[in-house]
Amino acid sequence: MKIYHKVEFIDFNSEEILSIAKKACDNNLSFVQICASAFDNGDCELLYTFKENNQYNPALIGYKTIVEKQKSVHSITDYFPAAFVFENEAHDLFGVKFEGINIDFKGNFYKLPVAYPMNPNINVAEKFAEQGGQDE
Amino acid sequence: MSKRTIIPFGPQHPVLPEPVHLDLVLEDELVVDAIPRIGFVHRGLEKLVEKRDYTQFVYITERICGICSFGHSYGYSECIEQLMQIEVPPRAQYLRVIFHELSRIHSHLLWLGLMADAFGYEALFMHCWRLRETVLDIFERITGGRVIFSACNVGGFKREVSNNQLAGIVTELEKLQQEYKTISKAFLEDSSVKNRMVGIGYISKKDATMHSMVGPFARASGLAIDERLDKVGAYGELSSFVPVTSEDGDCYARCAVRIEEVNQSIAIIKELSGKIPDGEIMNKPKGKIDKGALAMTTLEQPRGQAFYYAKGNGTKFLERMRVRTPTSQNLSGLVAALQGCEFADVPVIILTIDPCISCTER
Repeated sequence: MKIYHKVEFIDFNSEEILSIAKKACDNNLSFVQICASAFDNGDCELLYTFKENNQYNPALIGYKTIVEKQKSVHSITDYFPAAFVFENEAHDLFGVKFEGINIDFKGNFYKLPVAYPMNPNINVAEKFAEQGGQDE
Repeated sequence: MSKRTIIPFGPQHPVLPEPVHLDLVLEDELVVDAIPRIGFVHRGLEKLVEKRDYTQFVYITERICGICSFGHSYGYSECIEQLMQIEVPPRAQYLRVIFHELSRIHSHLLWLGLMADAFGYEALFMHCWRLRETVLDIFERITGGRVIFSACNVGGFKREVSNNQLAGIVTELEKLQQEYKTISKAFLEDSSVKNRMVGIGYISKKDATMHSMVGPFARASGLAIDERLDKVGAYGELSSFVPVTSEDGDCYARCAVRIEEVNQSIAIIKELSGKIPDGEIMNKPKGKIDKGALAMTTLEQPRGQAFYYAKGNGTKFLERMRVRTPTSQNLSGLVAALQGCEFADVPVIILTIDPCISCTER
């Protein structure tokens, strides 16, 4: 009995994201998600997941990259429009900047009392107190 | 040129059991664009991996959503098992699939009821939810819980279910299926129902692919994608599995696909209950998770593909846990389905993606 999915993780440079998305699109891979994880120094890791829906050998492929604090990443919504949800989420919760999102909420996708609450550099309690404990 | 108006839809609306907001751009009665917005009840459950170890976190994943509760504990457990290379006993694999398919039946019956309620067919709504009670009663009798029942854990299945109990489940489902036939007929043949759904919210196969749609929403547009085809766990033991699809791509097709999926789930439960192997149901996990260990998996939830990702940090706690739910993935397709529809059809179209906001706002 097969008990796990076949998975593969590949590291890449964040500037190559458009060529990776194009290749995934050309090869009929389905877009699964983008996951952001924050580091203490303010950098973020992005994991882009695609799925190969081959009936005989289905596989999940994860492309990982580190995005430095001040840098931005190009949006992949030109190839996968559904990515707008995850790019806006990564921006609103972790502070990752994206260029060229098809539906850019500019920080208003999630209605939150503080900016970037999942980023370890932001002390949510302090930030909330600074705002007088009031929601935006 | 018609005047453009923006109508806010939600977050509180009679057809929405949970909060989601849409800015509908209208030209007269025609929707030309829709901009979704979520985050009204975001709970940040993924962040809780810092406070709960990997075995305790199963109970958090179950609380992501009340409808797909079992599925989330199943998907998370499978992800951790991959991370720690734990081999789950075959009997537990079978029980997981049986309970997951029972969850799909009650989820689809719940959706059918909501759909009937949305177009004002109250009697049909009550019959759907009455039938759904049969499945919840099965859960309660076997596990003690009706919605969240903590039956799945990392390493296997927590509660032994005897072969007699499984036979009893099959008998009850056969009885349910008889009544379900009458309800299905009302959805598929009643003209008042068809008038509200046929040709509404059309999405082509090409658009479904482009918008990376998942679940019955995608299958109703002709995409034969289903995570159960990957044959992971006891799904690989089925004699055959062909996803239910339709080429029509409208609201009626989405309804028809879900209706047939209930019958398909009953058939899966029958087959697996008949050939479930005897043996252990738990292989208890031991030790810590290696630093930097990565795992990811997918599972076909009632609303479509759900994704789970975990990263170890050398302790019993995870560095990062990620759940991507089907509704997040279908938001882009929803926007496409709404473009060009009549304003009066918006609630029906939104309902046909079966939005689960508590999943999305994990």
